[in-house]
Amino acid sequence: MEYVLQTQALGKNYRKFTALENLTMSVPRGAVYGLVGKNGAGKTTLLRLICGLQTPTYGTYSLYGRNNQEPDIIKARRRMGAVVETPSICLDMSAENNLRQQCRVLGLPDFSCVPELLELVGLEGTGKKKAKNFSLGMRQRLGIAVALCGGPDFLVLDEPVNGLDPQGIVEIRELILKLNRERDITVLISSHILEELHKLATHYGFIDSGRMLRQVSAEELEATCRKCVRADVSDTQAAALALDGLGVDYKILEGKQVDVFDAVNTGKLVQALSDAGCEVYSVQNHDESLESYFLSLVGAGKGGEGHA
Amino acid sequence: MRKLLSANFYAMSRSLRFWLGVFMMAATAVYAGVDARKMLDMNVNNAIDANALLFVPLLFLVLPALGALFINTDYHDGTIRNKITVGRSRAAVYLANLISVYLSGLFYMAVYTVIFLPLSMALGCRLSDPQAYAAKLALLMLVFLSLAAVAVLLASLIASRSVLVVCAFLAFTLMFGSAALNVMLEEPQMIDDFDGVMMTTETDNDGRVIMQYTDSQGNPISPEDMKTIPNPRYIPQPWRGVLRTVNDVQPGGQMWEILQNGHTDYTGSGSERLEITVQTPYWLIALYALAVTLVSTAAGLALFSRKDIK
Repeated sequence: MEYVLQTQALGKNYRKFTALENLTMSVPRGAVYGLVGKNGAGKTTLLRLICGLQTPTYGTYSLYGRNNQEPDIIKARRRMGAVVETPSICLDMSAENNLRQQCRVLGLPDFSCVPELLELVGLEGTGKKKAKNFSLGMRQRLGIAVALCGGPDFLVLDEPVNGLDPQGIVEIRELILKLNRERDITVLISSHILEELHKLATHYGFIDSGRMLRQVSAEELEATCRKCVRADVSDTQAAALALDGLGVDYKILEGKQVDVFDAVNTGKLVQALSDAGCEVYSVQNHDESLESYFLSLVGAGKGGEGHA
Repeated sequence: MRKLLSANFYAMSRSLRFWLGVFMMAATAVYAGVDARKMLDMNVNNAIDANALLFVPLLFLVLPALGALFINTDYHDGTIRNKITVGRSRAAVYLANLISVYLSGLFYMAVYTVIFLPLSMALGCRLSDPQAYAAKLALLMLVFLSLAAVAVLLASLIASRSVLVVCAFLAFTLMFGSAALNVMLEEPQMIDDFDGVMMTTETDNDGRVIMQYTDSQGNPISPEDMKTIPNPRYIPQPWRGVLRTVNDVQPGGQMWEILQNGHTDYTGSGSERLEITVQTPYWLIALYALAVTLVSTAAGLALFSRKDIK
């Protein structure tokens, strides 16, 4: 698998405070990588390091295979765009002038990309209105448009839906998906709004107290969090035989519990288990949300009980 | 670098504050031109020479504030991140900021000069020594370079809005501090001893005021025979040399040295004492200005390359 970004035991200390600790992660090409963590978990610090705004205390990272300690990293950076924390826009300029300004920074030969980018983020009708008079959502979209100047193929977004109204959240989500699917842009997106990330991400990195707790793909997470019927039974071996007979997907758990993943009539399930000589003490619907998955990970990270 | 300069000039040209400064310079130039003509009518010689550099103290106060405002806006709006994230080196960002701030200062100088000179000439004033004026202008360009370098150093390292106050305070301190230092250094080594001396004034038949000094017995004393004592405010060596060098090195002192055609000093002692005007050589001022620029820029580049940007 080709990786756009890889970090190796990355660390960042601010005096005695440890913001990042031995963080290792990999962002595959073409992914929408959701960086999940609480406030203060180290998400923004990580993004600042990747963007070259700050220097790691220890460890390294590579962008498009170029190590951050090599002078060549500058070339790799030209392939990325970022919105870290607040949108980086000149408040005294219009949306169009902001984009022209970034074109100058990049040294683009002309401003032909400006109308297209304005249209892409839905700001084509803002005219001479200055960015300081924009709503939060408009500023966020302008920030993304500025980051898209020069056609990057890696986009870093820090809490892009923070503070937005529901419509703004939908607009940003659709924009990110469009960029990923139509322009093949790899997106690294940090957020603590888990349900929102769930609608976007193809890969997840769970971070807490500056440490990477776990990296999973969306499929793996889906499998972990999928809905099921959980039954307490007297004999798991007999239950397995009965469930094999029904041809359903299941998983035997510790403590004489069985998770049945396929949609199955509860009456039929209980009947089949009884016929196989397995008593059923209780049956309940069970599904683990992304939220509870994250909380269980955080608990494990603090020395609590790990996620099964 | 060229790309960053282009972006910086574009940002500056869109800034209302920048054009407010241009308007201020233009207005000062018009006032100075008209004032030079008035002075000429009042038979004040060389008024145009003094007014030709009237903008200097003003620009000395405006340039650090302008630089701080320009760079701090980059931090405040977060647009500095747009430059670094896309691969512009920190050295390039720093140097582009320095060049932009300095060139904006030169632009202000140019605005003043191109308005003042033609206007005052049209009003009948002539520079007494155009070559000396050109030399001063060239030297002032170096002084403003060193001032811009110090302001950019501070503005690049202090990301908070407080840098505006710091830079304004810096300009005031350098300018008025050096003026105060000059006053201290102008104190003579020996002063007349007025202890026990009475001074009386009389008016003669022509209405002129005549001052007379007498001792405690009422005997008249000639001012030439007055006893002299050491001046307690006189700054002796080696501090005298150190403070003189400080004033010659720092941009505020350099500015006064150029505007006032040197500084006051004394030669001889007692009745032989003579007040003279001493001028620090222009080449030495230029050398000091370049040294301040180089040291500030080197320190700024080293510290800015390690600065954590938020």
